[in-house]
Amino acid sequence: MESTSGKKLLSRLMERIPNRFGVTVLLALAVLAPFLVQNDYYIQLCTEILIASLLAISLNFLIGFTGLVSLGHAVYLGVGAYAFALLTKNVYPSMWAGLIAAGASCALLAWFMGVFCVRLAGLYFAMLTLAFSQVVYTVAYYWRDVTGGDDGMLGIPKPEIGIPGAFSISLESFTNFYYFVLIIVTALIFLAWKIANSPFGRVLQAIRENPERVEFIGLPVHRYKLYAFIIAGTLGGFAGGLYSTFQGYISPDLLYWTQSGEIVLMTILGGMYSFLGPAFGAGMLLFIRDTVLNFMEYWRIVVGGILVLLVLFLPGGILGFFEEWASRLSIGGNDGDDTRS
Amino acid sequence: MATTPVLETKALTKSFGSLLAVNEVDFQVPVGELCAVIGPNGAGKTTFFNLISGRLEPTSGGVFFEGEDITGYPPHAVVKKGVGRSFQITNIFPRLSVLDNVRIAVLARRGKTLDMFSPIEKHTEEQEEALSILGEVELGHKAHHPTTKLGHGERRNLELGITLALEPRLILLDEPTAGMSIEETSSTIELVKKISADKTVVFTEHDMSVVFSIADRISVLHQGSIIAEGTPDEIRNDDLVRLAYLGEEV
Repeated sequence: MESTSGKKLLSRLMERIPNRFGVTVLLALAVLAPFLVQNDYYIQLCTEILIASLLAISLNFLIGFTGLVSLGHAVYLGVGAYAFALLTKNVYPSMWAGLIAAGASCALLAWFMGVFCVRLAGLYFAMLTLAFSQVVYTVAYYWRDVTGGDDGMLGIPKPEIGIPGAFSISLESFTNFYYFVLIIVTALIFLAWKIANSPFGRVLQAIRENPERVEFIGLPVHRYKLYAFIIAGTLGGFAGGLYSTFQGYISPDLLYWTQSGEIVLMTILGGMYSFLGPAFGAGMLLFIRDTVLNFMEYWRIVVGGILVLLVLFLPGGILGFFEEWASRLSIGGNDGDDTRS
Repeated sequence: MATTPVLETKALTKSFGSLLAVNEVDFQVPVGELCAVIGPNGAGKTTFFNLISGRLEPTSGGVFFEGEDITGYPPHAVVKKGVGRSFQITNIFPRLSVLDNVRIAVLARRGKTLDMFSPIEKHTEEQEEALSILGEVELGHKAHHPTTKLGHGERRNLELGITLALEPRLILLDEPTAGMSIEETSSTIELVKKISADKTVVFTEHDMSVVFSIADRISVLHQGSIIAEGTPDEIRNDDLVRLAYLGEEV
């Protein structure tokens, strides 16, 4: 219907603009965000979106990459958050030590849970991850002496960073904290991206496509799934640690299964087959929550409605849709007669 | 050393409940041969392959590869020993590119799949090798296509390419021409012949003209047991085989 010359021009344009361009723009926007929004409230919202992006991308290591739908990913958000809080409040108030504790505790937890979970697939895998996370939730809820029970923990610090004796940077200001989170999250997402594009990452995708065939190219599928599980858990743990210091307050709700569901929503909203899709979904979900909450309490209805439309019409998610559209344009004459079966 | 068969099964048995799918099969494949296992539907051919390749654990009996007992090994360990297989129902990685389907197998064979930090494109040696294998199975020009753009015969060839990338010393092909058109069948048969020039191959096939034209040796499986073994000529003239399987037409 549209003029072919216009389409050709667009297609040529898409070829010339490498993927890197989009990422550069995104990063520039993220760096400039505090100046663009000029408002503490929105700087906070942006910080939360960054943390949620890391969390959603970590989950997508399982869902989109390895094809394992985990319904218990909040366990890492919660355990990472508690690990950070316990260490910085009770042992030593250091940002780095707190984050390492968050990552390491989740790596260990993921290792332990993974040994059981990776032997299962599909619904059984999903149920077991859900069950494990609910067990941890219950522990956090009743172990008052350590976790504060349903009161949660208050007064989690934002320790300053720097080199002792040389210089230090306070993270108490919203802008400073935002940039700190931006640096950590960008570094970890970059790491995840490296892994996703490595031979190991391609094996995970192959497992998603056809686990049995992977076994028959000589690779022990369970072990690779376990590694993916640990990577996802560790990255999720870092997000939990950041969330802990960001909020300054945590409760067992972080571990509850509805929280896990929300991370799955982010992933599906943005698109699980696109690397940055889940981050996009995280931003969208939090933005919708924030906007709709100004008008009514039931923001989840809006998210639910959007999700229904997405699953029906854009099953690849929003960013996934745009990427597919862009790649179709850049391939040009190639018709997209994918066999869907 | 020439006396050790590449593959040997001893009294290999698999029962599913009261059904004896494979019944005390003694089977030997000498180095370099192209062996066919034939038999009517339900004779136990695929179960037999599954037992050898580790997909199923035998109820009793043993599997030996180059003299080594590999009974009960998981599939990935059997592959590492040097046994590659293809499947009756096409078994590829649908949403990876044609190149990646083979590249992942090359990387697996070379032990590079735990590399988490270097981009997959930087492994140029593996990429070259994958491309040359794709050339062998006549898919070189489609390396960068998604597999969804391949026809049925091409997908079967891709699967063969994945198996070849493992450089197995023994290849098990489960109905390599299943569902193919006549032209596709003949080109795949040429391919199988080419492969068998320097590898040991065991294959199952329902198309008897194919079997009798290329196999060095044929084993006939009937209700889980081998009822006859021999050269194509011997099998053609075996009364028991005629009765059980081939009917009057051969």
